[in-house]
Amino acid sequence: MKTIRLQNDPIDCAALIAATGTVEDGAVLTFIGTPRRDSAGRPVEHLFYEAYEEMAQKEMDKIADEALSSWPITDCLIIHRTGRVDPGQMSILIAVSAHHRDEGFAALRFIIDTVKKTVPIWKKEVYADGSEWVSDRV
Amino acid sequence: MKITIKAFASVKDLCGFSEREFELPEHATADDAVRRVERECAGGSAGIESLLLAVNEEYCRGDRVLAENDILALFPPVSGG
Repeated sequence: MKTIRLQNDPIDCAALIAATGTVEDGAVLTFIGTPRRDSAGRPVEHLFYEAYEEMAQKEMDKIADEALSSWPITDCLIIHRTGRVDPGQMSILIAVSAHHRDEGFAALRFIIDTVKKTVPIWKKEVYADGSEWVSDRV
Repeated sequence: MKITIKAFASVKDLCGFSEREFELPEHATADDAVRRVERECAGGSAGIESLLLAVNEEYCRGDRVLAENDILALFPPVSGG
């Protein structure tokens, strides 16, 4: 099963993880991304995520398809926030289920690394006295 | 021919629009469209560095030849996650 979406609302992590996996699986593995409070010594009040939504959905779909065909995983879930995300909240939740954990870890690593490379989403750090697109520093 | 250009994140701030229609000559490439945007919207500067391009929601290179009604997206390196 594949669950892929962008959403403006907070991620209900417990419910989503509980719905991931089958009785055949021996592991459900998760990655949760959270904004850091500190950015190179500058306190971050919150992040703002902008997405090219139609294309981001397609790119996340491709990543999930590749993970599902490359490793023996059963379920694949990728949820990415858009809009304002405060430190301590989740910006992304990835979950995969697998019969055995090694395949799950490998698939999870591939998914988060690829999301960060190819999915058209950008974060802006908002400080007390201004803001900056993180991609500006790349 | 008429195409739509979308801009995101820092590129949107630089160009001053998130979506705009442009009239371009037949067989214009994505690079031609970028030069047009730089000239008209980004103060003529080549300020759009490390630009990524997509046509109709798929990544492409600058030499991609555009067609009527294409949607060209201009954006900086992605920073999601």
